[in-house]
Order: sequence, then C-alpha cells, then structure tokens
Amino acid sequence: MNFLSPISLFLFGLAIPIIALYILKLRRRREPVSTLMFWEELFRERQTTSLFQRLKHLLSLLLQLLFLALLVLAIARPQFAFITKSARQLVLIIDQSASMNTIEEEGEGLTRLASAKESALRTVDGLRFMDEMTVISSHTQPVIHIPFTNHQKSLREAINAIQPTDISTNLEPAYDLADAIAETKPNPEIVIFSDFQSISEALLAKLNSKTEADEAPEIKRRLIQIGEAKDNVGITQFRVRKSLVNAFDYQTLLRVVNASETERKFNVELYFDENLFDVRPYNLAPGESKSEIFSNFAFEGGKLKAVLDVQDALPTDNTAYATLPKRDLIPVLLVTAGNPFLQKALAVDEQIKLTVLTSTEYETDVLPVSGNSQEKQPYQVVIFDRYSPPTLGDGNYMFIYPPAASSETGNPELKWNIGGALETPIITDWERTHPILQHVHLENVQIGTAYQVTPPSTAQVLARSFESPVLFIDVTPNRKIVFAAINILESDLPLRIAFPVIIANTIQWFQQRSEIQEHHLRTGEVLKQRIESVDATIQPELETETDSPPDTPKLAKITGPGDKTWEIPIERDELLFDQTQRAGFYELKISEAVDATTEDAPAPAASELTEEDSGTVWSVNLADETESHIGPDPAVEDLLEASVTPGGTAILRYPPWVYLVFLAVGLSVVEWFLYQRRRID
Amino acid sequence: MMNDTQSAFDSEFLKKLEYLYIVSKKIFAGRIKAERRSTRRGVSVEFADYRNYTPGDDFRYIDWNAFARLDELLLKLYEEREDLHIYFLVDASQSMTYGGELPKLIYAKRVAAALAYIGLSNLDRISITSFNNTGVNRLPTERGKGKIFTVLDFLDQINGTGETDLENAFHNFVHTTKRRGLVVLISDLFDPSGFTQGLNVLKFQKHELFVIHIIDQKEAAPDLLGDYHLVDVETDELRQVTINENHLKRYQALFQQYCDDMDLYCTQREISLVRTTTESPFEELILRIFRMGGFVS
Repeated sequence: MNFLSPISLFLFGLAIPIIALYILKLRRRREPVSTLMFWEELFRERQTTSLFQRLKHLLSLLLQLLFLALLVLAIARPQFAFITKSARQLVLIIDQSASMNTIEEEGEGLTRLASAKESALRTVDGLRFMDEMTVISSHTQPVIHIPFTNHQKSLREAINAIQPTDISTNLEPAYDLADAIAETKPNPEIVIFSDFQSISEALLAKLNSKTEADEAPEIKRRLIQIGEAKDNVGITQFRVRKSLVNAFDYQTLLRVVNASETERKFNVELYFDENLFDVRPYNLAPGESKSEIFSNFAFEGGKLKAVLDVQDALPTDNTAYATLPKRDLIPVLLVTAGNPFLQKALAVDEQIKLTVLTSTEYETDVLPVSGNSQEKQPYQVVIFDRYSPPTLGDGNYMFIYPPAASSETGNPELKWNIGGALETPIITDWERTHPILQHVHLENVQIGTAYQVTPPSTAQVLARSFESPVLFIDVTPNRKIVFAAINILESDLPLRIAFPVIIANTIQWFQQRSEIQEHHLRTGEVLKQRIESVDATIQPELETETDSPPDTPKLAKITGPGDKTWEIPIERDELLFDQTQRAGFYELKISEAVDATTEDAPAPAASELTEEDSGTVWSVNLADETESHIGPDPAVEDLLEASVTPGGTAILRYPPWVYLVFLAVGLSVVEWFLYQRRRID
Repeated sequence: MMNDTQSAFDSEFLKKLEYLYIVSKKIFAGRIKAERRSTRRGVSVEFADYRNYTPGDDFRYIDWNAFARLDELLLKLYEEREDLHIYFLVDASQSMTYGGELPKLIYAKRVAAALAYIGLSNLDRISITSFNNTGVNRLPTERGKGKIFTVLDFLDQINGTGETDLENAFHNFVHTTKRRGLVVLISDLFDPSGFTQGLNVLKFQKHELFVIHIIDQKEAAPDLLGDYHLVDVETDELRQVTINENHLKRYQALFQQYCDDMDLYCTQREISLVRTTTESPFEELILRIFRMGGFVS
C-alpha cells in the first residue's frame, strides 16, 4: 500500500490532544439531591460489572482514535497495488451507422443506437476506481469522442452526444483504431456495441485472432449485439443522370430491395418539390430487388423524393432523395457576315440561346474574353461562318468554310491546312453512326464550292469526297472542333432535311460529353464544391455585373435535413463539407459575408448574409443495400456473447479514501449514538 | 430560611386555615366537639364493663345488685373521658429543605399548622415536635384556639438542618411523652437506615400513627441526564454519575418500589398514610386527610 500524500500521516499526531483531552476529567455539574440512597442503589446494580465499565470507558477513546485514523488515512490517499493492477482500460466502440436507427421496440420508439448508448452507460456505471475508458463512435470512419478518462460524468456526456447517422457500416477502421490504442495499455478491453448486420471478413479475422507477442498485453474483446433480425424494405439506389439518348433529358434510377423473410407489397411514391406525381406498386419476394428507370420528365430543376409507403423497422432507407437539374439554355454564338439558313436552323431549336455577331463585333467584344484560355467561355458553342478568329480559347467551336487566309496568320491553334478549291465535290462516304451524322443522308448533296483541307492528326473525318475530307472533328482535352470544308451558301445542303439535323446533332454532340454536374452524394461523403463553378452555375451574369471587389470574403450557408444550418467561411476556391451524416437535401448558398464588427451594430455577430442566391441543392442518400439487411451477420454469431450487458454494480467504484471517509462518518454516528445512549462514557 | 418561614404563614395562609376549619366542621357534623372516647377506664356516667374486685379497689364502684344475685364482688367500670393529645412530629432534617419554589419543609409546616389549628379548634391538646439526628425540639401541649399563634411561632422557628435519623428521634419522643395519642408524622422518610425502625418505635408505644409523606416531584421523577456530581444535601456526600434514560427509568422504579413498600408496611400495621408532592396545594391535602377519616375518628 502506498500513499499519494504520505506527509498527511503526520496528522496522526492529533491523537495526542485527543488522548490528553480524554485523560482530563470531565467537568461535571453539581446537582444537590435530598438523598443519595436511590442513586446509590441504582449504581450499585450497574457497577456489578466494573470491568465492563472500564472497557466502555476505554471504548470511547478507541472509537475516537479510530475515527482520527480513518480520516488521516483518507487524507493520505492510500493506493493499493491490487487495485492498480486490476484497473482496466476500456475502449468502447459504438456503431452509429444507419442500421442502428432500426426501431427495436415500436411502442417506445427505442432505436438500436439508443439501446447501445444505454448499454454503454451501464458500462460506465460499472467502472471501478482506476478504470479508464475511451469512447469511439463508428460508421465508415471512427471518431474518438473522449480520450481515456475515469471521469464518469464526461464519459456519460460523450456517450449521450453520439447522434444517429445514415451512413453505411464499416467497423474495421474503428476496430483498428481501438486496437492501436489498446496495445499501449496494460489491461485493455475492447467492447463493441453494434447490430453486426455487416461485418467484413478482415474484421472477423482480427476478432478471432489472438495476441501473439508474449510481451504484449492480451486485449479482451467483447461484442455486444444490439437488436435482432427484423423485416425491412429499402431504397438502395435513387440517382439522376443525363439521358444516353437525349442530351437534353435526364434519367432517374430507382432500386428497391426487400430484405424481409416474407413477400412485401407496397407502393413507391415519387414527389417533385414535395408534390406527389407518381405512385408505383411493388411486389417483391423475399430478398428480391427491383430497378426502374424514369425519364422524360415534364419538369426540371427541383427536388425529387422517393418514399416507400411501408411500415418497417428501419425508416431511414424508406426515403431517397435526388436533384433534377435545370435544363439551361445553351448559349450559342454565331459569327457570320450573314447566313440566313444557319441562323434559322439554330433559331428553331428551343434549347439554344442564339447570339449573332459579325466578325468585327466578335473581335471587339468577345474575343478579349473568350480568346484567353484562362477565362471561362461565356458561350458553350461558337460557330464561325466563313471566318477564322485570330486567337482561339478553350471551348466548342464549329468552323464552316473558314477562309484559307486563316492558316497564313500563323495561328498555332488552328492545326489544319487548307489547300486549293474544289469544284462540285461529291460526298462519297460519311460516318453514319456518329452522333453528328445520325439520321442524316448526304447522298447527292450538291456542293458548289469547297476546298481541300488537311485535318490535324488528332482529327476524325466524318465525311469525305474523293478529293478531300469535307467534315471532320478534332477533340482535345480543352477544345472540341467541328470543321466543315464546304460553303453551305453555295450548296443545296441548307435546303435538305439533313441540314437542321446536322446542326442540332452538332450542338447536342458538343453538350454530350459535358457531364451534368451531379449533386449527389452518399451519406458520409465529403461535399466538394468549387466556388467559381457555383457562381457560374447559379448566376453567370453576376460574374460580369458584380461591383464587389474580387477579394470580398464569401460565406457558404448550408441548410441540411431538419433545417439544420451550417455557415462556413470560404477561404479557398473549393468548399469542403463533411457533415453529410443524414440523408436528405443539402442546400448550399454562397453569399458575401460582411464582418459585423465593421458595422455600427453593437452586437459582435460573426457575419451575416448580404445577398442570397438561388443555391445549389445536393441530395445525400444512404444507397447501400447491405445496410438495408438489418439482421445480424451469421458469421459473427460465434463471437457474440449472448446478450451479456457489461457494467452494473462495481466493487471499489470509488477511490479508497472515499470509503475511509464513509467509514469515519459511520463511526462518528455510532459513537454519537453510543454516547447519547450512555453506552459509552 | 426566614423568608421561607414568613412566606409559610402569611395572611393568605391564615385565611385558608379558617376556611379549612369551617369545612372540617361540615365533614365532622354530628360528632361531639372536644370529646373523644378514651380507651382508658375511669369515672364517667357511661358504663363500660365489669371486673372482679381486687383488694384496694374503691368500694363505691362495687355493683351491689350483682353481688346480691351472683354473690360475687364485681366492680362496675365506666369509660373515662379524656382530651385527645395530638402530637405533630415534623421532620426538620436538611433533606426537607429540598425543593424548588416550595421546599418540603415549608409545605410540612403549613400542613402541621393547618391540622393543629383544626385540633385546637376542637379543643384537642396539641404538641409539636421537630426532629433530626441531633435531637428533638418540642412545643409543650397547648389547648384552645387561641394558642394557634404559639404554634405558628414554634413552627416558624424550625429550620432544616442535620440528617434524618427516625429511630433515635422517635425514641427521644416516646421517652418524653407519657400520654399516648395521635401522632402525626410529617416527613419525607428519607432515612438511609430505613423508615420501619422509627415507625415501629411509635407503634410499639401504642400511639395512633398518621403519616404524611411529603415528596418533591423531582425526587419522584428527576429530569437529570448527563454527567453530574450528585450532592447529598444532608451529608454533603458526592456521587459521580453519568445518567441516561435507562438510569432514570430504573430510578423511578426504585422510588416507586420504596413507596410501595411503605404503603404495604402501613397497611399491615393499620397506619394511616397520605403521600403528597409539594406541587399539590396543601389545603387539598388537608381535605383529603379529613375525607379519609383517619385523622379524627
């Protein structure tokens, strides 16, 4: 036994005054009585056991000395070796994945996570003196909520602070972290609270393994299963992509799985901006999954939501979210000296926002911006009709019979060579399967004027005559070019049906490779948003119209499920947001922040929004079929302890000095009682 | 002590005496005043008995009619009428001074004065004796209502000193008292050697005995708890005690046993006994005594 404060043992010297005071005779009150004969007789009876009287007298002194000894020992704070050696270091892993939201008791609405937290709190209650505990929560990534401590209040607060998530299960990183922590401790113990509905083979192997190194402490492992197998159906996929057949349309994939032991019939309700627009009946056999694709939406730019009209144990996967992008008009610039056929062909397409400029206007107004490859192209497609710009930025360009002189200016970006003129060439071959020439017949097209052209080595010829390529494309990482070597004003091509088809196909081809900006994440994934793209996507006109200085600090305000909001100051050109634990819509708004301390307002608010934009909506889904199977993994059954709840009562829950103080107080009560009853003098 | 004495017989007390006398007359209504049949045979008009003639008897009392019929000399005996002698024995030991507002001795003086006043009013002969271990102090026999102030003066002069020694005190009393009578003993009877020896002395002398046992409430049920030096007021003897609840219960049991023994003793020997505490008004005690009928019969 050691003492943390051995100097306190000098307090045993207080026994001296106690004994001295005890030796001193008690000052008794004088009380006259008329006769002593009754008192004499009374105490003659009582004094028959004089030895006992002396012992009683001594007992009082012994009780007081024992009281002093207990207090002094308590102040000296004794430490016992057997307590120190038996002290445990517990690492609690609490699974907070989506399946832990399963409601186990429907009446009380108690989820598996709540049950796990209750079990963990009981473990805290069972902590002994000198035991330490750390708490790790886990979904796909582990989070240490509190380092090793024996402060039970802090441990309880840490456990209670664990919130449910809609993230998939992956206990292995948490276990690896716990294992690494435990290896440094003398008497470690890892306790995992989980439903174990999904456990990897690697983790199973680790749980089955024994500590090989003799010098390393053996890590005790306890697996506490929470919950039991229950029926469930869930949405495992709900995602929007661009249509493969129509560049201006979207497709939505919906996948539903029945993870129950019985057949389930239910409806899937589809909402757009919270308005029901479709209901699909589903009838799934046990274990069956069904996928369905929706397209040809009559609406655009909003929130899609799929809801399973079913009551099951896990509500989390009964709802899925997606964002349907807005079909923005394609800004197209036509630089021409006048081409009514081309203008009409472009104007007929509703998806196109056409701007027509002359070459002079183009060089004056647009070229200073678009010619710089570092600047973002304001037009998605630029068509040069019998014109060749002196410089060429990144983007999509269509050259129609550009003048041969353009090659002589030495523009290195134009890598084709224009040769001599061709008289009435005949198109002999064309790529019928290429998107640009789909549904197009170029037989017998009368071409008045064309020229020979030598395409760059990276080009793909789509149509050729006997003499030379007539139509080719050149695709580089930053630039897509369609080159037509014919003067359409001197051909009958504009009069054919093929002409508007080619133009439409070309515009579509330009757009096809440009993926839609998918605002879709799985729960737990990091939301990454480039700030420039946000501005360009949301309000492209603000780029040129804003009067704010370029270095004005910006603020991202994100509104998540349940109207939970985050305000994140943007310090770089990319926003990273990792609080996507819950499934739902996350609306991101970028605004300029004004430091309130510079204003007259006395309140020192950190920032406030000055102007709000329309925002970008991200959809976050669980989208994990494994998580929808909420029954325990059979592989883990051998490792499970049959519902053994750790904790409960613990001996030596408090340090020894507490018990000594309690003993001293109890002793003083006994002494007081004995004195009051005159059992002792 | 002077203050105590003065307060014992104030004007209020004297009023109460007259009141008690009037009340006693009602209680004794129909009885002959100042007359008490004596057990002694003597000369009077009321025949009592016959006895054989012995030489030396007065011839005048021979019943000659009986001689004529029976041929035996028989003497006619008549009851002798005599005045009643009432002896008040007042305990004047130091223990009688014990008490709070009203010490037992004051209470005893008042009781003695009241009974003496009534006795004097009934033309009885009254004698008062105070006693302790040092001896006795005696007021000679007085008769007549007018002697009440002599009685009060004597009572005034009694101080509580010395120890209690009933046997010696009563031996002194009986040796100086030839005529038997009613002995009214007013005392706390706290004699370390016991009360029986003393009472036996009186009883053996064929005195009619009436005991008024005066106790203080704190003697019957003390409220002492804790550590004390108990001091005997008579002997100044010290006793170091630590008293708890159990001790108090046991004390009360012992005191009750003492009283019960006293009751049994008196009952067996036809001794009238009245026990009172100083908290009880003395006039109530007087009336209780009268109603008992043992004081004047």
